[in-house]
Amino acid sequence: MFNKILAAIDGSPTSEKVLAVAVDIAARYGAELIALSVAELPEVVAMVDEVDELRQSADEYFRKIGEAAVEYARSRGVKPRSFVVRGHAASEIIRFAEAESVDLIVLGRQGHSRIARFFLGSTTDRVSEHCHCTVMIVK
Amino acid sequence: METSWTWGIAAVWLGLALVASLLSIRFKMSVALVEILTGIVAGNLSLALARLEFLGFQHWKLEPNEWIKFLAGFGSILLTFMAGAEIEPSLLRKSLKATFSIGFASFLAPFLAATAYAYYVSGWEWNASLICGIALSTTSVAVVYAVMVETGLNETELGKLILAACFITDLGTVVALGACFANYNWTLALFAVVAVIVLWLAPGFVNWFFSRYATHMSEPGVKFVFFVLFALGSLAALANSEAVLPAYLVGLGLAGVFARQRETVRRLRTTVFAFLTPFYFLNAGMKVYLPALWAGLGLIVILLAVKIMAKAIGVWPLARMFGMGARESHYTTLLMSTGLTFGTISALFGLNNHYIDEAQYSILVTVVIASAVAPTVIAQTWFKPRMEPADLLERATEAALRPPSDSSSERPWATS
Repeated sequence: MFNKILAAIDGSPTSEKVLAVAVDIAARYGAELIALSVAELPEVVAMVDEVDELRQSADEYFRKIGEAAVEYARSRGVKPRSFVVRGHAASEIIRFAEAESVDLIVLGRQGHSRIARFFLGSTTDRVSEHCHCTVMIVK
Repeated sequence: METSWTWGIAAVWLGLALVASLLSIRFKMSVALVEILTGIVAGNLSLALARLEFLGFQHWKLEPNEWIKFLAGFGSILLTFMAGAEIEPSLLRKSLKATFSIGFASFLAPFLAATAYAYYVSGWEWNASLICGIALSTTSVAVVYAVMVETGLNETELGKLILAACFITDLGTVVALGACFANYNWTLALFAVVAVIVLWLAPGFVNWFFSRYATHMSEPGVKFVFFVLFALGSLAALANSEAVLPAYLVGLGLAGVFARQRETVRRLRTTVFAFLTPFYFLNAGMKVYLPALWAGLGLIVILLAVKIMAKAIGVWPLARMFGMGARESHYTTLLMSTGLTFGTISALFGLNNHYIDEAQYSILVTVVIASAVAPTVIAQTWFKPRMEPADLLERATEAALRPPSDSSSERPWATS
């Protein structure tokens, strides 16, 4: 039923559950697994150096998360690919899923802070509303 | 008593800077913006408490004293210097005609439009109108760069052209700030002659100086740069000009040298962001008087519209003329409508020199902050250049394959 699964991970406790569920489904269906992290950087900044520092810090952080995800999946017999992209989480997850033609996205319920959710809507809501494929929400 | 009071004031200001840092990390916002907002809240809260005579609270306890003003001024000089030093010299040489045309138009159109609107429609005095024009002529290189890093545009020719044009716009802003209010007499001539000589000699000399002393813990190279900035700043002030003008020019002149001194730049940046710029941004925020914003709400909206429309008139036709598509031209125009650091520096210069009053300052800083956010949101939502799926995968793969850097991650992620 599922040939290609995308797990959206950000290093939070919820995304650990996301990865566990995605790996389990991938193992059951023999599906390909992609672990995707989206680095959201602030756009309103005062210095170019500030951007570079935030970017390097985010890249490093998400690279380690990706490595940990790959290690975890391999320990359960799944060989995933891991990617990091920059941008707004919802739109990048959707764009990536379409570019890779995935047929299941697994993501967590919690992401943004309450304030950000109030103004922007949650990543989960936006992905489930706009994505072409099946979306599984892990609580 | 006096000394304890000084430490107390320092504790309050650094406490506010600490709160701003923590909030910026928590909400993934720029620390500079949060510091301005923290300053606005703290300053107005302090005023309100003083009005109510709450526990004998007096507003002057939060009012910047002489040493806070010095640290804030030093912060703004170093911010400007580092902004100038951020450019890659090769960027400016590439597509020179397009870069200068777009950058200069991006400065001139809003400068003229905002000055004219403030003077003829709002009835501001001439000097206040000039401050308005200068503060709204800016483009935030940092905001543009942040957006481009996110989209990957900073790696493209279009992105590099836009970034280089932003530096020209800021150059126009600091030259206007330095030239509009200067005394045209021998002091200005002295400043100009010394500045030209220093800018001519500085790159070679500083390069030699850094290569000889860069490894010393006492940082003679950094001290030499500070010495040059203070000396030129004092000459600029003598001519009633602004110290940020020579700071930006020295930054541009030393950009090539600093590009090779990454470790020194990192240490300098740490000092500036940890200790100096918080005083500048908090101070800039504290001078915003909230009741004036309510009274000037209509003018805030109009001035923001004037800035964006003037940028469109100046930049959009040139962007099309130099071969950008319609969508890219819209995007470029909106990104060049952003502003933050130089806008607040210009407004604060006007307030400190009594060219504008507190209400006008509050309005200008609010427009500047709004111009950092509104055009960015519009550009990102509706005009972001389209990226092919193949490009997206290529970028993601590059990021995933990037070798680990020396710095360690803040918190290792453990799977169970």
